[in-house]
Amino acid sequence: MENLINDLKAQLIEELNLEDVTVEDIDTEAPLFGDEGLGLDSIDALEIILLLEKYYGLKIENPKSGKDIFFSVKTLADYITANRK
Amino acid sequence: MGTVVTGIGVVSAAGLNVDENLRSLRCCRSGVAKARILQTRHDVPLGEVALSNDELRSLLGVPEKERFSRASLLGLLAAREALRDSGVSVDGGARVGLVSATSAGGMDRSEFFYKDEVTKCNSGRLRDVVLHDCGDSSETVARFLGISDFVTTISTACSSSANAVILADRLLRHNKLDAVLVGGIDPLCKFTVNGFSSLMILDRELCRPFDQSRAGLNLGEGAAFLVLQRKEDVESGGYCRLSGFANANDAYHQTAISHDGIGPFLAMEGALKSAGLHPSDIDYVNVHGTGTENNDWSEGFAMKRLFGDCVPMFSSTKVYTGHTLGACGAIEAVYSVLSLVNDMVFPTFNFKNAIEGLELEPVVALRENAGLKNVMSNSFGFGGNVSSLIFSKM
Amino acid sequence: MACFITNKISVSPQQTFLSDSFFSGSANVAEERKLRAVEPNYKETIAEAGLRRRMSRIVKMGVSAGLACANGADGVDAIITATGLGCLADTEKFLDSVVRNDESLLNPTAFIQSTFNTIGAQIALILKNSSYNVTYAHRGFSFESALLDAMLRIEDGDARNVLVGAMDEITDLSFAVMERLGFWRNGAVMGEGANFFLLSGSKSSADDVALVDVATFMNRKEEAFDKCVQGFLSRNNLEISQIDVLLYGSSDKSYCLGGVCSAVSEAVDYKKYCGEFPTASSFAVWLGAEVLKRGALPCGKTLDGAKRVLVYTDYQSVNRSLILLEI
Repeated sequence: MENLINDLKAQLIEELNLEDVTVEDIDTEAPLFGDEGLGLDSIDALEIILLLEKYYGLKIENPKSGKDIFFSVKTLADYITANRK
Repeated sequence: MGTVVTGIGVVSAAGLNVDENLRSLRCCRSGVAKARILQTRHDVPLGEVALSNDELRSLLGVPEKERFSRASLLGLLAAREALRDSGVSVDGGARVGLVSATSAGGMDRSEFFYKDEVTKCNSGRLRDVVLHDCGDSSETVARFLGISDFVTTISTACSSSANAVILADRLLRHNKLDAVLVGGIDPLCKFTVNGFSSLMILDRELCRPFDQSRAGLNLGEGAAFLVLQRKEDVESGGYCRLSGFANANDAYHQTAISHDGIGPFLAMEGALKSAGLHPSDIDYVNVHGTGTENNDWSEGFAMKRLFGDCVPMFSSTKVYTGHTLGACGAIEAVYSVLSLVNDMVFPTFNFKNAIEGLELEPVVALRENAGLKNVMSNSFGFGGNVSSLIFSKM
Repeated sequence: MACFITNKISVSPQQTFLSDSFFSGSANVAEERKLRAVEPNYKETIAEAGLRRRMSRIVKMGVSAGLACANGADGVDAIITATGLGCLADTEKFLDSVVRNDESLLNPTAFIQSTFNTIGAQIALILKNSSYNVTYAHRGFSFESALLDAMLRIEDGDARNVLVGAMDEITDLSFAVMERLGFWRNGAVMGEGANFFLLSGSKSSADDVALVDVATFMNRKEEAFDKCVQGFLSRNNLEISQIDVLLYGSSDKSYCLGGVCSAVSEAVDYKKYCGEFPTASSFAVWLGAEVLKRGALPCGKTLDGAKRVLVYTDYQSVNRSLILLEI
């Protein structure tokens, strides 16, 4: 789990071009979207959907259904763990 | 304002010319269907123009040796119809200009080029890639029709051709030109289909503008042109006046329109002001109405703010054509002219339930003898680029 | 009616961005037939990392120049941008994923940022500016069309200050394609840059340069174009002899522009500084305004009482334009 969380953080930094952000800067439990946390937006949500498909082979068809999954790095990791084949 | 519309031409999924489009609009016949011409993996309905490039070429009588992009072929068909309809001669003394608009340009050819260029070791055909840029289709249309006094191209995503109309009016008022062939062109191509697919806003069924159940847009293709002239230069007739317009920026997000539709509100309000009209003077709005959750909410919200409890009749004609991106402003301008001239509102025939919180219902069945004097047409695009045009009876 | 260039910012292959070095030092020269822009420190020009992270090079160049140019303006009433080929790097990136991944695993950011109006839109977004906003994308007429629109808006009183800018970028693919097309024969080099201007109906300082006239000409052979030059000068009530400096950007060095070349005291090939790209004339306007203001050429040569600069641009012998500047 620890490895997955660190991988995810590194992938988020890479795919979302989070310049000046390091893996250590990202709080595993903090919200990814909105003004707190990383402050991501709707385009980032699409990029995260792409990330899940690219690295983990997971497809999310409806961006709205991703809302709970994308809440934090932790919820993303839980989703991947539960659904990865 | 003294600018009048003296010619119109249109090609879309709803028909190859003005008459065919009008027939589809009157009969509630959508041109959106399963893809037949574009080769794509995405299983989504598209508003394709019914003819292949070869068929378009022979319809136009374009010689074999000429290599035209689909954008140029579609543009030529609509532009030639509009110019002929107006009776304006490019060989006479009149200074005639072309203001066109597109978002994809010759991308359909670039896709062929790029594939060979990267997968077959720099063997992409150069005659394809030289058609890539936005200016190519404009210059091809101008050359084919003999227009050389002025040519330019606007590219502001989905509001492109509405903005072309705004420039055309200014060029006429400043006496830079005597007649302007103005419009927009966008062909379907893999680039845009995949682009909108990556944004996850393509509906797998026919789009449902302003419906609570809406689930995205359908992409379409086409071209439309209008001939604009100064009223005093036109001896008789003309379809209607271009009476007002405005362009504003929503300045909220690169792709989304603000929740309270501030940009759309400013564009519609500005258009009214430039026409010297009150909100109650508008009889019908041809809305942008793409069918995405974001657009329809924001546009509806802005209309309620502008028109209060008296929102005029409105409809989205994208159920007939799909969303034709850079061409939609011009196609819907032509449709607005057709509404005025025929005094009818073309319905969003598949509408069922109003958006909760807005409670706005578009016209759902053809409305004849609608009593139209002033018609507004909205076009909104990426980058917060929003524009509104108003056409009025002579 | 003229309008005035009350501010101007250039990101170009020369040391022009918020710097005097270009006029005092020596000019940068092309490497491998490319004149790449000397780029600003984007962390300073676009301070917020969150804004920068989706921006490609052309967007950063354009937004940096645009924001610097609007800085201190007493309101911006319109934002008009121009680009010949738009955000090429993002376009290529998205096209690449369509082709290589066979229409799967598509990167939405590249698609969104590939639209031609991205720079104008980003500037509006950052400045929270909801005024008129439009983008011209027509080969060698892109920037000229933007200038014309701006001038007409000012003349109509619809705008006091208009932010006008143009940008294009070099990518490896576009260079290679143009090489295959033979663009770089005759010694031409590929260039890029972002040049922005704040145009106003009135001067903000006494030595502001006036943008007097702009005209575009489609498909004119040289003989016919001689007449166009005459017409352009006479509609501005000028004789050839009243043009002091000609800035020309043309692949045909032998063409004398209806005698203007031989009549002016200085004729400068501006594309040797900025390279060839569809909106290169925007660099020439920056250069022309700077020359008039300084009374000197980039090489350091002083010009006594130079009043007028004529910018002549020939893009692929199809799009030609004339722009007149006056102090």
